Amino acid sequence: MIVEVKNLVKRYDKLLALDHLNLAVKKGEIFGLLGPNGSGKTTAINCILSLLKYDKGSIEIFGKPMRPDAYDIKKNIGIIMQNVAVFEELTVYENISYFCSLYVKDKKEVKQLTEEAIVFVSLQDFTKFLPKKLSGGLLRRLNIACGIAHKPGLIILDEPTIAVDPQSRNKILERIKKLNENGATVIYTSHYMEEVEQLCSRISIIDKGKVIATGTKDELKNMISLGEKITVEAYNLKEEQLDEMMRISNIAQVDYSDNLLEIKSKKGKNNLIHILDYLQSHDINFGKIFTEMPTLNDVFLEITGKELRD
Amino acid sequence: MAFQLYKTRIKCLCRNYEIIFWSFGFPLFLAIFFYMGFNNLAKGESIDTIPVAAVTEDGGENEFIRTMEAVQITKDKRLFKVELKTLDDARAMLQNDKIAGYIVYSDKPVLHIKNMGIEQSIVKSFVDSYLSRKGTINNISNSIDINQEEANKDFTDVLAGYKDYLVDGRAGDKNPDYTLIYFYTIIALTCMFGTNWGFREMVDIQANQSAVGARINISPVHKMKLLSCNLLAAFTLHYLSILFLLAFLNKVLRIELGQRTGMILLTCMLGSFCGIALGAMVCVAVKTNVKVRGAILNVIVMGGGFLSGMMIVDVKYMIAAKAPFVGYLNPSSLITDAFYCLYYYDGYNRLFENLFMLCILTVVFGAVAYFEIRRREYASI
Ligand SMILES: Nc1ncnc2c1ncn2[C@@H]1O[C@H](COP(=O)(O)OP(=O)(O)OP(=O)(O)O)[C@@H](O)[C@H]1O
Ligand SMILES: [Mg+2]
Repeated sequence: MIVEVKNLVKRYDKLLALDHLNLAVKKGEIFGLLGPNGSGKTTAINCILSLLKYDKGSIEIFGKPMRPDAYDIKKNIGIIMQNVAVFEELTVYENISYFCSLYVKDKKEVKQLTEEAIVFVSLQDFTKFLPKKLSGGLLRRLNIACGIAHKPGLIILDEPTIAVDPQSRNKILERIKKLNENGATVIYTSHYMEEVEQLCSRISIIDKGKVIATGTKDELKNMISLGEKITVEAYNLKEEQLDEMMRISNIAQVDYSDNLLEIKSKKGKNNLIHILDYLQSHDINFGKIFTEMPTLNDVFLEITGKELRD
Repeated sequence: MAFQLYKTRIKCLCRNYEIIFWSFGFPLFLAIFFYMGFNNLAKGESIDTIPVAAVTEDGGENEFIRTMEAVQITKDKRLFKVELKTLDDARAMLQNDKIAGYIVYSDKPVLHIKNMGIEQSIVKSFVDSYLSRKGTINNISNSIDINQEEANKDFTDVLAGYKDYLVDGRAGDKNPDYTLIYFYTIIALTCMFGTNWGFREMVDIQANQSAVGARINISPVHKMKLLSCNLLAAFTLHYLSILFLLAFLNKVLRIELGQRTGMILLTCMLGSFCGIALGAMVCVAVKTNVKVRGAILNVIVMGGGFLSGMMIVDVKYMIAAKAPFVGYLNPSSLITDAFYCLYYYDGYNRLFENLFMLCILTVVFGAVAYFEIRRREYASI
């Protein structure tokens, strides 16, 4: 295990931010920490990094207990915080080089690593810019470069795409995949399930400081009872017809509003044929049909009874 | 690598134009401003002998007048030129501005003046002081039955003390120029602007104060080592700003700073340590947001400057008389006074007293800051 967190408890005065949190991150994976705002993702990361005191639990990184003065562990960690952490008065180049030199002693090596990091996040045209002259997306990229310039084996990213436009976001996700391909283990926190689904090989869903489910995205989706979701554009459906459809086997839920019929199937069962049969045999007009597999949002919804994003 | 970090830190601080302005620009403006304001005044204040008329009952000299004539500004320059006159003559001379005032002495001296100016206030303070000293001595000789001769000796001693007070025990050839104090307060203020640097260093090193602080705290460098490096960078710039001001005062405005360059530099160095430490302490000890803390810091710095006599020099004297401990706890006062000593006194006692207090304050401020920042895990970020 690269990171192993056991029974982590963290209180802010009365508020229980982490409630016996357990995490295990394996070497070489992109591990996703998915949870809504305020679920304790940042708190967990800060505890893992020994920035925050915690009340209970143990944290091991690279198989050794993590402590504030565990410099040999810290040397091999790269961190991209939720808040952009760069010096206002230093240029893009100087910022990256400064933070890199906190990790690497050799001056030549720092220079080379800095240049590589700049290329990696495509900031070549902006090396002499001060942070305040950068757009939001570019600033995030600088923030990433500052965190990974020293080529760490473990990279922790805490919502690195917050307030970033979709185009920059995709770029950033690509970069993270690339880092992983180059051998780094990645921990990625987000409240965007799309990102996590797209990026992560394994995911822990957390809510109220607790891990409520862990697994690959398919494993997670298999945990819940729902299968595919079918949406049909249908007109003039009556209440009793909806009731009848509910009685078709393997249908879990039927909703109808604004001429859209939404049917959720039970896991692994294909209901499309039955539904179309029913609609035809009752002379109901229908238009567009589409089906989708359950998302992590459905997983979250089923376990917690609320939406991942409000 | 340490040198690299130091260099980058200097670069970083140099580009913080706000602090740079307060350190390098503002004191200069203030100095020029004071200089223009005092340029005329200063001539008047490097006092000339003050002409006074005296009217005695018998028309002859007495103890008081002899004392008055004995007071010197410099070795062979008297503070008062006393002429014995009749009352009518004295009045006429005052009308024609031939004298600053006249003193009618019957059983005690009474000062008559036309209007109040610097000269008049000097005469008045002399008379007042004489009266109060004489009162004391009379009390002593009344309560303890000592012979007249001894009482007279006491009296002369006390008056000698008075003379010291007025002439201030200065090195013999120096003109008292009270405007100098104002420039010394600017130097003190510049030292105190070190608070900005100290403050900034504390914000940048603490994970719960700034995002870069968090980044630094998770990096594999020893926090205190990096902080020393940063503080050294801050001190470098801060000390430069003081040297810059000293050079400007001395070479451009030709303000007298005294001859003891080594001591001047030492005073500035201790002053700048103290400023940085004060800023660091306020940053960690006051638990509000950064803006409010910055404002509190400004109040402390400006308030300290005011109490050391920056706006009104009398404040300094008032504090020295009424609440001396305030002066001892106010770094600005200590620095101002140290410069004053360096210029006016040949001895080192009072100077070292000031510098010693400055060191103590620095150590206290620094210790408070240290105990707060040495921890490496935070309860909340
Ligand atoms: N410094 C603090 N003091 C008190 N409570 C805090 C502090 N920081 C966070 N909290 C609380 O702890 C809980 C977890 O916060 P945390 O920042 O870890 O959530 P998060 O999952 O990172 O949220 P987000 O997606 O918004 O970043 C929240 O309820 C938050 O209000
Ligand atoms: Mg967060």
